[in-house]
Amino acid sequence: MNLDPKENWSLTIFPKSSPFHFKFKEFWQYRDLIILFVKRELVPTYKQTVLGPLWFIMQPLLTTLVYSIIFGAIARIPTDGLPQLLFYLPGIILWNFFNSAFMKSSGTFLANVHIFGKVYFPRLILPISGLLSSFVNFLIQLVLLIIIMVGYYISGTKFSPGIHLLLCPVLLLMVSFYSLGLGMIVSAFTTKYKDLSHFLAFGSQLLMYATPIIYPTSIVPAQFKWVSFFNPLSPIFEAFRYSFLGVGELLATRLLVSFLVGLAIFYIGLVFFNEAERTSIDTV
Amino acid sequence: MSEVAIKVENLGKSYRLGSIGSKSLVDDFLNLFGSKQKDKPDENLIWALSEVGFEINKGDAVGIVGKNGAGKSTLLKILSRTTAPTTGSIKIKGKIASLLEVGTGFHPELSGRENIFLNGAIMGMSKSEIKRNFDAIVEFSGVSKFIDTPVKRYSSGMYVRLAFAVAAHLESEIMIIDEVLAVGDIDFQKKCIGKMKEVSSSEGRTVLFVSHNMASVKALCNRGLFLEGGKLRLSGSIEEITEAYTVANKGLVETTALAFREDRTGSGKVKLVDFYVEDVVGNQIETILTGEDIVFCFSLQNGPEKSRNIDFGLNFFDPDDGNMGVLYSSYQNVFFEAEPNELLYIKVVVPNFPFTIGTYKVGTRILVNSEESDWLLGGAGFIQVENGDFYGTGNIGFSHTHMTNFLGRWHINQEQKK
Repeated sequence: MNLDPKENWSLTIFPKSSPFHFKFKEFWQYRDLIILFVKRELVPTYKQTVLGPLWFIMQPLLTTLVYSIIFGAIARIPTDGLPQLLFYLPGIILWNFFNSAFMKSSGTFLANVHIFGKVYFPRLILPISGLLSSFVNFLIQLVLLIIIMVGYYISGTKFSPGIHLLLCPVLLLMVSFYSLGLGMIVSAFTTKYKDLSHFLAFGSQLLMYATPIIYPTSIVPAQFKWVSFFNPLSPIFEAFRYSFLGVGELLATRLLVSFLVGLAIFYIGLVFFNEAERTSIDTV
Repeated sequence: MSEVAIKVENLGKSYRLGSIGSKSLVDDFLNLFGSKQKDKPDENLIWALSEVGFEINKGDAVGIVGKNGAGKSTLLKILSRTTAPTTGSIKIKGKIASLLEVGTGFHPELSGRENIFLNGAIMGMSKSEIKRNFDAIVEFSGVSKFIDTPVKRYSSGMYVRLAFAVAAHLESEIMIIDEVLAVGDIDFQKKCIGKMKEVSSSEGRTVLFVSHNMASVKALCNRGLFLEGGKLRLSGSIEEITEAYTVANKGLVETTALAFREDRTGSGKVKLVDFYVEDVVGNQIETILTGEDIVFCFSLQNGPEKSRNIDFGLNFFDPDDGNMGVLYSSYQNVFFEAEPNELLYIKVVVPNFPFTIGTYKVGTRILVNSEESDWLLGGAGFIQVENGDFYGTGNIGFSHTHMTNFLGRWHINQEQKK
């Protein structure tokens, strides 16, 4: 530690900073901004709408309804003996959480060029606030799920939410790792290769169908088992549904692998993002 | 003893020309696998800034001047950390805030109140800081009635006023200000400039101020940096800097030998052969400041016969070739005479030069005994005008919205008032 006051700089700017150097302290100084960004994401969604905040739950309800008709009533994909609405909903709200956080973070650099060109703040604030606003959405939808579960329970449908519900925070953390990690990787690459942003919507849809949301893993034909096996999201979604409804399977080992892979992806995402933060404004 | 607030050493920034596309993906992969491409000099690199070094003391107000492309914006961007330098380093002591734009991150659906908090936070204010300044911000912006209305309902004037108000209340030890931020109607512009003055003169605060306008730089700053072609040309007192800048901006007057120009009509008895501009002290200048006394100098070549009743006229054209004003010497009953083959030097002083920032074409016409003698169809040259202190008050007015300024004498007629 140099005590010479002349060398006591509060900020230094150098050409190269290591992508492995994370400025968490600085990030913390901007925590007010995170909350404001979350608000900025959420509040305008229902301004000047008749239903207002109800829109937060309309979306999953309508999606579930569409899936019930197409995959349930028409394609007759089994739902482990549960009503379709009940079967689809946990998967759909969890997927909404993942997808919304993933989409928001993957657009970080392209969508905010105009801000990034003018002001400095830790760019990581944007994906994080995207995640948090998605999480608020998720919580609202979770309330919807609980109401519907209670409704079915009273009307006599048999399902068994178990002690595994305690696992849910961990599952949500894992989903956060994946959505942020993948999102940050994509956002870092879109600064140079905009092709990615075209592929994104398609890619996320593909991933959704590769994840057991509208079908139970049990009905996947043997030749496609590898898809769900290599999809690290599969065990998370299965476990999530299992803890709420008690159907499907809980695969502890694969969950652990998923957790580690998610952690790795998150870390890689941070590194890529850090690097892109430095150069993005010149390449976007 | 002064403390250094900002220390810049050997700062450089290069940009790569051309597109960043599929080719660069290949390059990236080649680089990844260690191909030694980087050893060969890349001719597609341009240096927007190179070898710039300076120190700024705490409490200084520093004006950064330079033409477009001199590297001012690049320097600002690096200082405000929106882009990283390619070489060198910057060391800063104290909290730094940059005002390169007002209203960054404003969301149209959110109310004025919500946007004050959002915008303030984006610019680095903490919530308590904003709360502390909230009333002052609202007061300054003059939109208190509409503070809970979504800003999309604001008039554009209200919008920029609110945006500037937030920016003006940043509390940081070092401020980077871009002068284009003085916005709104004339009253509010004055308020902005006043606030900038207040900001730059407040105790112990360091200010970096970027401007094209020598008058406001002189008014706000005590030190200056003069950038040219990406390099620091001069650093010194603000007087030295504005002087050097004005002298250096000579490039724009055309120096084509007027005598050899073919695009002219008239008898040719007396011809214009040279044209330049001087200040009142006699220094040749090429950048004119609005409001200064300017001397237009013309050299006329007389033919083999003596000429009497020479009437000299000049006018100015705007960029669309619209005529902005004409003055013949005969209007003021002035005529010239020239001996055979005499080279005649005519100077005309235009006091309080009225045209605002821009480039104007100068046209000339010479009449001898009311007959056209020489008329340069393409004009005699161009002048480059920068905003100066036309009104003698330091106010600039709406200099970007019109080309001519004029002064008035203001009175209240006490008799008629009752």
